[in-house]
Amino acid sequence: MKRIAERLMAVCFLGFLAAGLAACLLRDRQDVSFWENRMLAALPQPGPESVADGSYFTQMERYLADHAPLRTTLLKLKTRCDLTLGRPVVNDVVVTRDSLLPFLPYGIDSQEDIDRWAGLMADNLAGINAAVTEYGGYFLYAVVPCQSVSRADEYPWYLNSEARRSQMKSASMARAMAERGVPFLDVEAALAQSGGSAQYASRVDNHYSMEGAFETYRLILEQAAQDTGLSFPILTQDDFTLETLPNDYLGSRERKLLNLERREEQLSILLPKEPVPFTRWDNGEPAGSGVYRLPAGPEEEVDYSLYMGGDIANTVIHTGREELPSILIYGDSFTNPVECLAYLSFDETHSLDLRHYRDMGLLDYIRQFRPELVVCIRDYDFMMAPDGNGGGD
Amino acid sequence: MVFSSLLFLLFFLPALFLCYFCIPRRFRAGRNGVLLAFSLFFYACGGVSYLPVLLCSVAVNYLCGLMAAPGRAQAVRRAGLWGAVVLGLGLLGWFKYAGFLSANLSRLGVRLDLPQIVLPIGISFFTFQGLSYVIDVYRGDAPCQRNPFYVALYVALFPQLVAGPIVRYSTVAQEITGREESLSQFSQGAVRFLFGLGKKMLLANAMGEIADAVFAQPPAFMAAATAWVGAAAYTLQIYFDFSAYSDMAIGLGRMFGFHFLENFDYPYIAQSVTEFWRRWHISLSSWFRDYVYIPLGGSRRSPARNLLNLAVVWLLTGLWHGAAWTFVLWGGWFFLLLAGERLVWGQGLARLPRIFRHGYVLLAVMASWVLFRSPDAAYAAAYFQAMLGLGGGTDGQAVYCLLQYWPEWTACLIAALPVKRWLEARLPEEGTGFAAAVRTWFPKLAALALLTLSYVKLASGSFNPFIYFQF
Repeated sequence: MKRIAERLMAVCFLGFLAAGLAACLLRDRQDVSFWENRMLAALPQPGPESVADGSYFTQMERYLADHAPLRTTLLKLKTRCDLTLGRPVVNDVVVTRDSLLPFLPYGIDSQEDIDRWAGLMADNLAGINAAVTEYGGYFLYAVVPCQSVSRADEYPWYLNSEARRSQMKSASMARAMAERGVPFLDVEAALAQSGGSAQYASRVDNHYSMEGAFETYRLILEQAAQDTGLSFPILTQDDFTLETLPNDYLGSRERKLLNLERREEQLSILLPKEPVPFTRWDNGEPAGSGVYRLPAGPEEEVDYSLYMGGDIANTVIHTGREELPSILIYGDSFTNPVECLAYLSFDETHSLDLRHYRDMGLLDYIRQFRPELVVCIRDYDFMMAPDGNGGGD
Repeated sequence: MVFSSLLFLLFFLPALFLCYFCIPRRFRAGRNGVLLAFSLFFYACGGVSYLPVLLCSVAVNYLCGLMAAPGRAQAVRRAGLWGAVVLGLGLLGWFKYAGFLSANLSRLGVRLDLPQIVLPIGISFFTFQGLSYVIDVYRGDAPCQRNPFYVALYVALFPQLVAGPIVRYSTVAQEITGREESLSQFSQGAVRFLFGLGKKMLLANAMGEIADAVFAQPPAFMAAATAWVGAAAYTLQIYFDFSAYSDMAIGLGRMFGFHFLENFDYPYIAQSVTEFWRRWHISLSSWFRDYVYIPLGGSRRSPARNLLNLAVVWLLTGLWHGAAWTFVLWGGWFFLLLAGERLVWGQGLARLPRIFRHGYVLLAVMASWVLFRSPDAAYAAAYFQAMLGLGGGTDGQAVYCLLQYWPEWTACLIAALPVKRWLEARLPEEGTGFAAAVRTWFPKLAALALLTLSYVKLASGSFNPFIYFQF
């Protein structure tokens, strides 16, 4: 019996290694992990320096881990095991009874640091504000709540919800912007007066709902109209029909925990009762005349790219109503559902995603097109980050 | 390259098995050549630029070993011995301690301009291994090896090259030229390797995540419970990390017919710090005992000299682990404990109930790991204050760490105890009954299950650094 066991052990061990090697060599290569919403490590190229300091083999280990045979299946298996074991955080996602929330690391909230970052960001925005006001335009920096802010109360008591930090950031940013005379809108604070932002926050994704986007649209335009005296229509909810799609929403919280969690949620769209004809260009190319990327059928899962087709470097929408002003909206994906509504109030609507746009800098774009309104929309996580869509030009 | 990587498991190891076992056993030199070539490649994966340091160390030890061999003039033998000591420790000193020395001199106002020095992986291990070879040859405890490739194979043998255990030449001298590989040994080695892999991937890494998160925070604002959880996690991480590496090294060695000595013997069940050091990193403590403590006179001299010998050994042990004052303090802490047990409270301790003795060892050792893990002495002092409740903040993080990692905490507590030994004592090794079947099959099935779970962890790309590489 001992001899049989030893033979079997050796065969299983060697078989595992051989099968793993073969599967690794024969596997189809992928660049993106859909479920993790990230790029997979690229095959490293050896160079004299990387071989000399060992970084080549470190990169190779990362590459092999990312492209391991059966990786997605094993990732799902691990996730299922972690959920079964009752871990409060799975794949950096806090699993509560109702929601999937981001895990926020523990740390110290230093008022001094927050004030410093707020000051740096406000300096950056003051530069953009100066460029816009120079030709008579109006700049507004709108900060919107992300999921962790809206659903801070849902975190278990022992996990960090960053509630205090969010308050400190918001107050510090408002102070810094006021000191520099840059218009600032805290959507979270504004919504707190009307039932709070939780009603608009997704349970499985970082972004707000279509209704949250509508509130953001309304607040931005009301403040812009009040500050500038410009005339443009601000639509109310009565001007729209709310349509909820029957499709399953695959939120971004680790793609709804690798689609193992059946927390059903649907996305909605707002359709104007009086449609406004328009033409749309994405990155300089004609792109039809829709603002929603609707699924082919009710069985197809939808994600946040439903709005405007996702993060596109540059979109321009013309409605041919020259009596109305033009607007430039830039920011992260929170801008997308707002853009689905904004074009209804303007002649020209420009949108930029500076993470992808490479043709020119933000200030050059503003100087070239001179939109009457320039609005930057960022969420609480990134409100003090000058890179990417912070517009650090 | 680390053992717990897909590069090692799915590429290096199969390629080595294929090349090694394709050569008939009678061509021992061929098999050794394959093993040496793969060992050098394994080391080069950590950076080709460090390879000359390893080869230089091999050359020094080979030449000095020839000089130190019995039969030559005493002056030549002494020159060989001292040549190995000076050159070996000089190499180690330059790469590991020159920066530390320079930093401390600059604090005293003496400027010492040094180039950027990168510590070659495993230099402390292969330096000590090489030294033990020359010293053993000088003493006549081991035969002189006249084949430089075999000296290279001894020093550079990949299972123990970068993180030990420190293998004495006398342990493997015979096996380098005359070992017998067998299916039974291969199977035993595979089981041992997979248990090590599982310990590393499933236990040490999980505890490391906790320890890293806690020790990344300033202790001035840390809740007492969090500080204790962080210290406990690091205490378990360092044991499972290091003992896992030793298990994997011993297992790999066994697959190729080598028998390395045990390096850990359930250290956390020790009832005194003296006993702890008989169970922890046995190859290092016995190295210092045989090559430093005993030559200095050991415990056979006056009590004062004995204390001095002990202090020297622990200062060097601390510095061996790292060029920083925290490691010196760590060594000093163990010197105090060991001297105290020998001269002051040892007899009293022995009369205490067992639970108090265990508690004393665990507290003493946990405190030592806080010193060991802290970036500097000030951080360690603040961390100790946090453990005493003088920090602040809330203790939500401690609750999170316990709830999030409850399966790992449970498994760690079981694996730190000699459960395996207890079970082995109760199950017959031979026979046909159920108990014998369990004893035969269970370790192998468990090892294969651990391989699967480890692969899941590896593929899901989680946290995976090895602590002992820095030494």
